[in-house]
Amino acid sequence: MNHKYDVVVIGGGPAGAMSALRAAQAGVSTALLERDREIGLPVRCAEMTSIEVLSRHFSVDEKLVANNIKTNKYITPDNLTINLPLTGRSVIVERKFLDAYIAAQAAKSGAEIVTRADAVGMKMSEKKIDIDVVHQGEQKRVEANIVIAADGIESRVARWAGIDTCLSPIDLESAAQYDMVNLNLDDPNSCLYYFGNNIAPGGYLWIFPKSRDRANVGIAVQASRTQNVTAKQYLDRFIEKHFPMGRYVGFVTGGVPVARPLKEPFTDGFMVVGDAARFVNPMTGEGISYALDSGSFAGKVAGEAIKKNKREKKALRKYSQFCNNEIVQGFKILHKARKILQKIDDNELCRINEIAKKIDPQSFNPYELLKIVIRNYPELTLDLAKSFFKNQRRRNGG
Amino acid sequence: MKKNNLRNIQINQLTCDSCGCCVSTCPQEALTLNEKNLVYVKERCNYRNKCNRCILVCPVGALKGENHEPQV
Repeated sequence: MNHKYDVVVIGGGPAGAMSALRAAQAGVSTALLERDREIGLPVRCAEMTSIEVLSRHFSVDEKLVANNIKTNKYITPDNLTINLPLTGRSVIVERKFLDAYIAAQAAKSGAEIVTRADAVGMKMSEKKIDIDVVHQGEQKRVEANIVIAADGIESRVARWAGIDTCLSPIDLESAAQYDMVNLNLDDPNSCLYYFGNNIAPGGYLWIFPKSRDRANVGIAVQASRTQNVTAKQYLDRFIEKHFPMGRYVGFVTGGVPVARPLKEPFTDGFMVVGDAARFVNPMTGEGISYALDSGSFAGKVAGEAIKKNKREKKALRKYSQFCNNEIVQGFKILHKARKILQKIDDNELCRINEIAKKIDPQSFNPYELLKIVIRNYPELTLDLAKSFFKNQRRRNGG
Repeated sequence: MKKNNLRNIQINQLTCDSCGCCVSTCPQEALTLNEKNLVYVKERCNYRNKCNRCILVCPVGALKGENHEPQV
């Protein structure tokens, strides 16, 4: 590791690696600092995305793909199941291969990947940023012209830049997941989503298969509702009941931010990307696509800024505009819907599922479901209903 | 019970899976993760003033303290 770079990216997940790739491709000196000993592990992710999302950024090697998913199945406590056929090619990826693949591309483009590099502090001055790093146990200092914070759920780096990223437990999903075998699933190409206040309060439990036999079986629970029962306990209870013959291969915990994204994910010489910026779909918990999109754009903007020798906040504003147009706008109605869904009881949830079941599957989409939710909750103002319908015309694929 | 225990949270480093939920929720930046474990800076902690967000959000219950109303 040198002591000076044009661009330093902190965090080696998909957002950080994409930032480093695009900055390096712009021809500026780039370092990617990863605290862990390798990129990609541990995998704290349910691993569902789509080939369309990945292809926006690079050509997809089939080695990254564990399984194809044709249907999402939503199950409410009354055991009513809605089948939603998926368009395009949804897949379960191997994050350990995906993350390493993107980092490898960044390295090949000239980025320096530094592992066991823990950023512990940052000082911003007029023309540069000094980062304190513990690298392989030694205290070091690295100077950067531009810093991109890609440090995930913790999002400490942005706080050092004066941006408040602290999550209330209401806006955080406490999550846990097993890699399991011996599942004998009915359909190896369907993802299952279980809802219910006794199953996963304020969230859902998922079964994302890699084969008929093996799946990511995990849960996300609204963190404010885990006073007496942890996320892991909810998950264990479900598995005991539904998969008594299942065997464990691995276990991880995680946190999913469902807060509103940062209003201003940037300042002088500084941008925040991915989960660190809270760019996560508040309904599904999906983060991969937003990490790739924001990371890629931030890296590109950083490269341009270095070459034009303009690092002030206003020179980076187009990053914020991009995120606002492509990510934040689409989330607004979803945040409101999430808050409603997190408050309703199991009876109401089942009723919504019943209504949704009557919609023709060919025309079914999550926005149809949202319309139903909003119609049934008249306390929403007219303004909200208007913004919902306006947003529907601009929707992205969620 | 020692007076000290009433002011601080307790961490089970072996139960902790380093997910970062507690770090993300701490308004005082009293918790950080390094390569090896979860670091607690008790001088910054507000547990004695009834904050127990970190205890609440942990997916595996690795943090504990004396029971009081969870602050959300």
